[in-house]
Amino acid sequence: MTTIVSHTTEARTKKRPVNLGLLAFLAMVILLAAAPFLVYPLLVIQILCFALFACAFNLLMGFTGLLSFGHAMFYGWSAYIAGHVAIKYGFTPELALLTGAGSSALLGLVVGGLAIRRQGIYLAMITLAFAQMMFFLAVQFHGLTGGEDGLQGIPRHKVFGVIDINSTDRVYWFAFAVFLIAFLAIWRIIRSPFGETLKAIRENEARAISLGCDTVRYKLVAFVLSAGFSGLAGSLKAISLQLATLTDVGWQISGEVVLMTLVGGIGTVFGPVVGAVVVVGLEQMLLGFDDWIPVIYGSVFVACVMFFRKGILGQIQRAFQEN
Amino acid sequence: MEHLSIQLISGQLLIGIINGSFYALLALGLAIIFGMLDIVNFMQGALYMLGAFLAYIISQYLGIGYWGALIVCPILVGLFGIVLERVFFRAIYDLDPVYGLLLTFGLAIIVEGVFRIMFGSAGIPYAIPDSLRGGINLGFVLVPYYRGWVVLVSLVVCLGTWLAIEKTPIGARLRAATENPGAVRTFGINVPLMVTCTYGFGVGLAGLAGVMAAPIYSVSPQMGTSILIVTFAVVVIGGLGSIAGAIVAGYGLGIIEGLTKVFFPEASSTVVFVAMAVILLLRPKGLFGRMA
Amino acid sequence: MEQLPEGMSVKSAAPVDLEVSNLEAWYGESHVLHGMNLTVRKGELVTLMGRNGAGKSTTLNCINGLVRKRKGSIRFRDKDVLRATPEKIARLGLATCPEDRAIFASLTVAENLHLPPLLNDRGMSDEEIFDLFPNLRERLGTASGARLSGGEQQMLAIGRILRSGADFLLLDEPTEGLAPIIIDQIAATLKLLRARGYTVLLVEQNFRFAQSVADRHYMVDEGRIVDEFSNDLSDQTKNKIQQYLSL
Repeated sequence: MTTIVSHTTEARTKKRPVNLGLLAFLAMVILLAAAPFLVYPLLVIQILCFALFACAFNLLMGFTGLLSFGHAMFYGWSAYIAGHVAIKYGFTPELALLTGAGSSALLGLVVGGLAIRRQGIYLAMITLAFAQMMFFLAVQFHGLTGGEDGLQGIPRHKVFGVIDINSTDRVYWFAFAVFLIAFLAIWRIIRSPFGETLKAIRENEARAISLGCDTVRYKLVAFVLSAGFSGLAGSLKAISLQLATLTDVGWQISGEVVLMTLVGGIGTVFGPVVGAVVVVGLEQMLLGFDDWIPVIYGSVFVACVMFFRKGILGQIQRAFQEN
Repeated sequence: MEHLSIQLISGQLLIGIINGSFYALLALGLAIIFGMLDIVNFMQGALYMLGAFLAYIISQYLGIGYWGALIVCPILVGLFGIVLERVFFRAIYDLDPVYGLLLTFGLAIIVEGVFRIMFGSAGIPYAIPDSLRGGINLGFVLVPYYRGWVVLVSLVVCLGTWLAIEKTPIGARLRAATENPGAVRTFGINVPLMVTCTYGFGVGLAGLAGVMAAPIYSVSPQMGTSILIVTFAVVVIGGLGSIAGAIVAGYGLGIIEGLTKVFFPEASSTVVFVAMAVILLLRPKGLFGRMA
Repeated sequence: MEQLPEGMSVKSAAPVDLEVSNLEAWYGESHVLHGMNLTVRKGELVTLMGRNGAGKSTTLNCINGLVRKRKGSIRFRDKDVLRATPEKIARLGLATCPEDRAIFASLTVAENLHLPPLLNDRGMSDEEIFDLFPNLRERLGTASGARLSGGEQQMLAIGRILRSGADFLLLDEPTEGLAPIIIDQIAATLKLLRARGYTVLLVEQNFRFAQSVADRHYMVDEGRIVDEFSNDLSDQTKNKIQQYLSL
């Protein structure tokens, strides 16, 4: 595979974002470490899982330029798989996470293989359709998924067989650790030559092809990585919150992760995390007004697409670049 | 193995053709709108729901029955779509088509959410018009008049639309404007007006489908989403830019779904997506597709 | 400026069909026209010549309304059309034959030919067009415009705008890539149109062709008019033109 270094403005301002990025990362770590003392820990865990999910999604949409409208299938099914192996076979958390993420990566390979050659809109529709199929399968295979009830009371076994995480506080640190490792991995991927190639493909695929890049292969790898990390997020959710339900594979979740990435800033490193905080926060504010959630979410969507396409961090980034 | 009687098969086949009629109408609207505006109209499902609800509302509050609704509701839905197009879509025409999908997705959620707040999630029944009650017994299957009517109307509308687009001078202008709108404008043809009217028509088709669906599926806020996702699969199978593809794939998939219910019932909700996967493997452009 | 020979003075008294003043235009961020000034009188055939990228096509696309980002003044038949939509300008009697010919693949040849609406009853009939371009008569039944050869597409592109009754034509490099025999047919058509009183603004790189049909030539360079010649050209002028085109 040939690698292509992008000659975009991002390359030129690379020096600054590294230091800015370090600061942002530290800020994020501190905030997330303090959060469970200020806010209900299980809520913060939910934010962590969604944030990881959004980061994985952003890898595909923000950095490769591919919109998938069916990422719930990777998130939700991985939750089922991880939950299932934890319940049925007593898998310890790290094994359950790996199994879940691995199964999602595999699913990503199959779906991606079928869908990746199509232009942007087609890809969105195909992923949406496949995700719906996975939803129906989740309803049908209720032996595996618990059907309408879902999987409840998923056990938190000892990590590596020795570390006990069976309390809210301890499972929080576990989730936090997994999130940080995965986040750093995604960040590393973004900043690698592979990531630069993805950005080049996003900006001008025709040019990348003319320079000898096998863009289909790169896009497929990005798709599989995105699916795998989404799966990791789903498995983390299942183990930490001990629950896996049909909601997790529904199209609303596919839409929600797009919203988080859009609000936070497509193509920024920390945007998805910010977006997850905003969206989960919104949901909390609307507790008791459940009926209004779709209307509010939809409005935020429309507002972002029309006026605010860069998202929160995207706007800030642009403000920095113009100085 | 169940007793596979001719009654069972014809019964499911009839249901399949009816479902296929709705898939075809919605897919046709999507194909027309995509051809004209390069936008995948995620709102098509919500507008279908709107058509059904408007039929219910004007029956409850204005005493206008089915036959009036059949004319009024598609027009109202078409106008509503045009207003949305003017207000929202103008902002995103020059952008990546993906934003069109996101915008219409957001609008669709809003519309569905508003109706859920106003009417709750339960299905509201809508009566079959008196003149179409009852049915005809063909011996091996009972064909309710209303269902037959639905199939007839959708066939006429689909074929009529196809003929209008492919064989008439106005259709020629539409096809030309899809290829090269600038050149068509330099001939003196008002392309923006044509685009708006075509979009209104595509949207009106969804409204028409909604009115016809009301007596069969009852009226609920979520009726749009599930049928929309299947319609997306239909459009992918038929080929995104193709009018004929939308129609053929719509009816075809309805029939396949119906037959699957007979022979392999567990797969009936997923067969459409499996078919899509197969087409993607064998004929990625879709059955009639001209675009990658 | 050269002396116009006797026979040309009639046209210099004709009304001005098109007047472009200080026209600036942008394609996206790129500033393509830096102040175009040109005039075309009724019945004239005027050419715009210049190297690739000089701004000739852009000028045509400003006149017909397709390029939206522009400043300055464009008056067509005494109406200010700077802000007018392309369809409005077309209905004033302007027709365009673009460089890529714009033959629609999803239309049959017959549909392509009949696409432009009739603006008045002064347009040519199908028969008259087939007299000019006999090949079109044979190919009329073809299912897709894309199946025609380059030359046939050019004939179709010119033919269809003659049907509408528009009498001010913008032609963008009609002879590009065509065989000499077809170029001759186009030259004959243009001479016929001149005799009938059509006004034509022609963009051409083929100088011999331009010289055989035109009254006047403008030389375009870097988004401006840099020179103007009548068709009666001394050798000195011809050399000047070659220099402009070859640099």
